[in-house]
Amino acid sequence: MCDNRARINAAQLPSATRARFALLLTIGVLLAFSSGQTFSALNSPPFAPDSPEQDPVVAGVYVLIISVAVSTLIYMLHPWRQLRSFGSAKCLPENDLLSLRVGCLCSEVGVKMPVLLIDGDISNTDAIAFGWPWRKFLLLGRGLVLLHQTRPREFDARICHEIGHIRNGDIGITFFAHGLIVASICALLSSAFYYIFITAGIFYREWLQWRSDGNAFHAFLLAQIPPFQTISLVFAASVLQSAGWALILIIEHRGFLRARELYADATSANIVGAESMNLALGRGTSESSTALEVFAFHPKLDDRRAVIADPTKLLRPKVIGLLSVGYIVGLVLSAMTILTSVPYLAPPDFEQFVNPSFMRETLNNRPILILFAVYTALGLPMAIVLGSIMFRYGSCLALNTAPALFTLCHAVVGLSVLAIGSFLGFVVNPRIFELLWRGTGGLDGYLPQTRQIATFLFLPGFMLMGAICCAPFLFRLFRGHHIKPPSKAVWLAIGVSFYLFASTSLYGVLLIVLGGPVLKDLPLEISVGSALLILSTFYASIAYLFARRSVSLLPVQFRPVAPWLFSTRR
Amino acid sequence: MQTGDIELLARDFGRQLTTELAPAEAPFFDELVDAHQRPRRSRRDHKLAFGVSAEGGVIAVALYEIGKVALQAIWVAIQPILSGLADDAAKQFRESFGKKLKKWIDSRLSDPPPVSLKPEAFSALMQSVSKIASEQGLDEKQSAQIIEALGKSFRGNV
Repeated sequence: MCDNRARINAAQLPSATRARFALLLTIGVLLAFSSGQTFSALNSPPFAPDSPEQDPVVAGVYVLIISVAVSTLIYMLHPWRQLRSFGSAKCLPENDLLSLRVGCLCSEVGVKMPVLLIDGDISNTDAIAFGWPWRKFLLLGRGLVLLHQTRPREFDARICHEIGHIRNGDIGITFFAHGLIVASICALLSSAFYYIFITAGIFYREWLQWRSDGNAFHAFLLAQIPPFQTISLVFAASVLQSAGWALILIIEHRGFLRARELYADATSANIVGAESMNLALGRGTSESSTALEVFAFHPKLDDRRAVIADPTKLLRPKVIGLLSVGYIVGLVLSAMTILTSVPYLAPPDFEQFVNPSFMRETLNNRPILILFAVYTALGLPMAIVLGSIMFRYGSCLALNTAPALFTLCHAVVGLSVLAIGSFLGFVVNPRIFELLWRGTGGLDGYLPQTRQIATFLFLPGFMLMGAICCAPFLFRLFRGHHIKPPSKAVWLAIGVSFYLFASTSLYGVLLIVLGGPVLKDLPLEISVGSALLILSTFYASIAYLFARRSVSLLPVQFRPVAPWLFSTRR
Repeated sequence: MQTGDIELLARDFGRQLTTELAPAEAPFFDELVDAHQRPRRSRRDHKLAFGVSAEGGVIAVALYEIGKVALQAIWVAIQPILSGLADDAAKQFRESFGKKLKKWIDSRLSDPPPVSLKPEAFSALMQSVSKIASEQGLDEKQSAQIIEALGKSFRGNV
């Protein structure tokens, strides 16, 4: 079993929550596209009879660009808003005792000293971190001045928690994600109000026509009842869809924030010790209801204490968390099916893909860049999230945080729950409100197809194999003698080479095992499949070399656990 | 004694004992008592904040509350004396008693109190002190320190 007395700093490992931020971006992209489609539909016939047909994808891209611009603006302005979180605040002098202590803790972690601000409320012992990449701020409650005098260990724990947020890179992601949510909800509301505006315009034009024909107002009203009912239904469905998406976005954002708080707690406990952190958390319990918990910025106190006691808990995904992630993945897959209905965005079949003449024609005739950008924008974050889950289970196996059988059983259950969540996300999502006006006739385009159901069924097995396969590489990485943690380039190299190894292995095995009509030549299939397996061995070797962080072929020392895993420095 | 007078004396009482028993809190005494008197409102949850308020009591606030109770007990103890005096004499008595009370407080209770308490009144006062210390979140050691300081001062005159 892993020795938890030597505190592993889980924040040294690539964080799954950054992948979660990527999912938030994906949801934001989907919302922008959804809003763009509404705008384009409202500016096309029959709403605008004299206008040409608008391209929904182009409109979606425009709305996405505006959403990103607005998000960036909100992010850039966030320090002015955060500054007023505790009311009025003033700068703390550099020679103040508090400043000196904070400076000491920052240099211990290897983080640049933030600008310190303090409010005037002696009963406030909270602190908030915020700021830009080039300038960070720490807003302190005046009660921390007293705490520093009377209970310095608790003071250190609270400050190190905030320094942990700075060290772990939480500030930019948190506030940009917040900006994205605000921009997305504004886009949704704008499209809903634009719909009202356009509809009112249509009714007004109709009334003018009726009046010029000499008809009475009450006759006009009676005639408008059927179309008004349809329009109301469409509007209600649009509002419900928007509300559904907004709710999903907010809940996911809060879940992401709670995960970052646990990482900050673990970082602080690594600096000041678990006992000081537990003193700072106190002996109370969280009393919020389950309904409110999903909207809370902070995790339950029991969860925080559990992570402080055993930081490796951050690695093992929670089953309920996997259900949530699975649901989001299902949402993304559901939205991607909408895109396949747009002619030039439909992906080619496998037979077409391997047909050279078809692919040449495709590249000449289709806007391939839009195709690549759209599917990459939607698919890459999802792939990163699923990959991070495989990585986390692989890390648990490599670090031996629990008996291997327990971890594998947990993985089977967790990944199955993820697949169930994906199926639910595909079927039960805000798009369901479209059925309000399409009726059961719209079910064909809504329910999953056979190949999509097959994806959900094979997903747990595929991911479990991925976790087991990456465990040996991670085992090597976690047993080195290096003191400094791997750089981002090393992590990327390991990830890419492992991905190439996994994908070529999979294609090679499928080609050999499935055989059949793919290349229509059995010896050729076996040759290609074998070549792919040899290539996969090459990629595995590259991944292993990156994992041992040495290009030398001489034996490299094994340690029980690498020193960098305990470090608090970046 | 007017409510305002008790308030001022209670603050003095709390301030002096805080300097004696919890010197780190002494510079913040008035701020702490002002914050204690403000209506309590639930703290908003902020993004990237610590999210949990510091637990445990503040001795300064406890001593201020104890001061109010102690002064009230002393005021009750001198009522029989005041009721037997004429208006002018009562006024003079109140003034001189007030000075003795202030002197007693400024001595950080090391001098004898200006009036002795009957055993039942003293016992009721000690019970109130324990209750206030518990309500204000003080630990056993802090409560024992306060009770000992008060007991030492009054016990000489019980």
